[in-house]
Amino acid sequence: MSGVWRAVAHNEGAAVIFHSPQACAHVTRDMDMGIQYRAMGRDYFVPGQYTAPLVCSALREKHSIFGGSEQLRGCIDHVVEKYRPQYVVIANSCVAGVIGDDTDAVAAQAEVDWQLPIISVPCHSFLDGDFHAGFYYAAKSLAERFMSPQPPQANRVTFLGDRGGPNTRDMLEIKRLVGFFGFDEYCLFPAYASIKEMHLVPASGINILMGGTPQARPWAGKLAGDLQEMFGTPWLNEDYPICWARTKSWLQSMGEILGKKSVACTAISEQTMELNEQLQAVTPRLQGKNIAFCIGRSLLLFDPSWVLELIELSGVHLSCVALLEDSLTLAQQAALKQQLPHQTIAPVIGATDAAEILDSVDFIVTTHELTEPLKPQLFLPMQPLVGVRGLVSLLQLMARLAERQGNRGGIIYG
Amino acid sequence: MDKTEWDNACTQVNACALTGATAFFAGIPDAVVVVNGPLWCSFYARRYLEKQCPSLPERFFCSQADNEAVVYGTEACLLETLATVKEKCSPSVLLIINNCSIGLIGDDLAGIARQAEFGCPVVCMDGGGLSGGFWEGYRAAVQKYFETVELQPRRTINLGTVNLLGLSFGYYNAANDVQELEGMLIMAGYRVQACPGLGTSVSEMEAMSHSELNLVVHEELGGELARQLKKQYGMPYISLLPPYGIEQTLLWLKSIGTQMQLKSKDALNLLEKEANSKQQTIRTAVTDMERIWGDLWFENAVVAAPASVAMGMARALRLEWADIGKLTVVAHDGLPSLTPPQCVDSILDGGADSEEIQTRLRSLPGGLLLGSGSEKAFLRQQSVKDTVCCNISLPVYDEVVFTGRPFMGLRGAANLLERLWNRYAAEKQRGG
Repeated sequence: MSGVWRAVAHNEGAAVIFHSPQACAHVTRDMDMGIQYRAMGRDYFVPGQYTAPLVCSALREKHSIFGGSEQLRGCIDHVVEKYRPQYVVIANSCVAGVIGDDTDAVAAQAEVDWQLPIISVPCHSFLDGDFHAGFYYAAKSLAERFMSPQPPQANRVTFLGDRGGPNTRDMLEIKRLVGFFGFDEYCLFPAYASIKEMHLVPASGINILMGGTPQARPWAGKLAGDLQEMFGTPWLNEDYPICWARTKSWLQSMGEILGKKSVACTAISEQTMELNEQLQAVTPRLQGKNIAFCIGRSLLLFDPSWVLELIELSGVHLSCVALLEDSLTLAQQAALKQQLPHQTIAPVIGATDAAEILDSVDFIVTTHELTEPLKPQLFLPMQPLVGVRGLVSLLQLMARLAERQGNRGGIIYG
Repeated sequence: MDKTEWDNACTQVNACALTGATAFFAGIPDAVVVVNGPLWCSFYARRYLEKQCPSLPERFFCSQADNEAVVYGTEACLLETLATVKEKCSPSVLLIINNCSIGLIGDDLAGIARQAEFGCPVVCMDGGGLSGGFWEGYRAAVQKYFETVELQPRRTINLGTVNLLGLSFGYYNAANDVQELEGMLIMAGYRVQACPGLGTSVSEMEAMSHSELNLVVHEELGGELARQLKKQYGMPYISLLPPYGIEQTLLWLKSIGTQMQLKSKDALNLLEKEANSKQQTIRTAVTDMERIWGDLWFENAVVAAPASVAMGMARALRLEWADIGKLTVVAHDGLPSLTPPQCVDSILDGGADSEEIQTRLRSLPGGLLLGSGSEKAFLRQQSVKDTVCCNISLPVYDEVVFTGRPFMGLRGAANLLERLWNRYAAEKQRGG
């Protein structure tokens, strides 16, 4: 449900109904506040952005017996009368799924009565997937409702997904990368998109996926595939441009798909120069340092290869890769032990066995906050910021850790 | 249908009943909580409480029931989780709580728990959003706990002992507040036997029936329990607004004194002396600040928190700390059952008056907000500037408290007034 909310929360003219107990809205609201404060902490918060009203149908125990359809209809009528939205999106809860409310029918009838798009997103909380599934289903529903074929505009690109909004460092950086290829008109979809902007999405020259963790990528790719099927818009089926190898590969693929290989070569040359300049500035600060890489995320959720690339570029010595046994099942540990040796010559061992090594290193890069040993830690994001600049920002954080004085340990969040 | 239940959630402050229930058990040492539901529900409850209760993650588990479990039942995944609990913990009491959808499928939690053969009391309950929000969940957990774990018969009464009811890790700075209250009550010649839900063990709670008096600190959390204990054990109780401010704290202690059999005039004199000393320190520093920065005067002030906190804080604000034009209280948990103090101009229902709340918040340029991160987030979104803000309730995103300073009591009054003045002066400088 939070995925559905995130897909439309800042879409001008939207109103959102959670067909759920009241608490689901509070949970989502808390997530949203965390995102806002995080944006403030990273200087990309913009006040005055449209925020959709979030109203819960307020299912209670009695509705589990008698059904919640009437409650939902009353809620829809109230929301339309009070907020006069351009459209309403309904997110269904697991409770609505278990009790079997026919939300689609209620929404359809309300749409006829109000002459207003009332969209029921076809998923029921954890019963039908996770955050990314909800995000996808909401996006698909919006695409089906508001988009139609448009004449293509060569300089327009649509970014599919959400990396915190239109003002984040990621967005600015990826706009810079697509700028090499002549794109200067942008759409974001499904988040932060008005109906007018959604109409323009089919006119894009290409669709670019934003974000690409192992969890998110399949859903983002599915959305891109759907849009291609509906409107013929090509999309870049390439790993998200993080670190260096993938950024290069991404630029190359952009060149191929757009028929602009020479542009891609130029972009790669410029990025190579930028990377080398930055490495010359940062790597001396990391010279002679030993680190450990602690992993507590399974391969289903996290791809460690970009971290290993980061470590190699930094020039530090990787003493070991330690698997956090408390956070991984035996099967997950086995999978990591099978894959990682293909990517690094450092020993891959359980954290318990690695205790002495962990005590001896200068700092640790880790997927989980460690209470011991008392070493400086770089907490790894699920996915780093885009491109060379994202890579360099992590290297700079590593350099800060390497230069940290005293024995205070501490964690820097990447 | 009641349209007030369809208010905009973006100005509400609440949590799931599961979180409220977890909050009560989080406050029992060595209690273990098992959420029978998907990870999402348990993750939220844990994140909400772990900053205030750092030991919670070690004794908080989730069965990770998936959509198949909704069809076939949760016995298998729940038993697996209970086996892990047995391996890793020695619970003093075990809470097994369903989220909403799992609650609908009707698994026999008690029967499944019996298979796991725990030696401690096991409390089973439905606790998802269908049961309500934070406060409903907390109260339901309290009720279930005391149904499961009986107290000792009230054959003897330990004069001079009290229980503090309604305190919780789910309230901001609660751990420091309970320490301050205990310290003051000891100075007043009393002893705190139990504080259910905030640090009292199972065995200590069993003996709480021998206390002379139950003190309800937060009516919305502890009032029901007090009335239940009165009915079941004949325990007298008193429910007062929490003691914020120096004068209000002394009044609070005197009110308690009127209910207790043993009266220690010396102890009360000592407390008054302490209060006077604090007042003198405060007066000297505040006079100096007033010379430089002017009076603490706000045309508009909003105090947003759970009802008991908001009303108690509003009273101290108006009667002791600042001059206020229009004082609005926003009760996060809904309109209170206790009579609001006369000094409050209006009370809004945090769950139903979103439009009016937004209007009052928009009127705060140059004003004062005592509230949570939710109201502050709204001010930032709306570009409302020059507002002096102090955090007094959860959720909080822009502040840490690890210095042991309370909000309640004599030390709490000094702490809050200090924060108020420091933020006032900082805001003045930001504007200049």
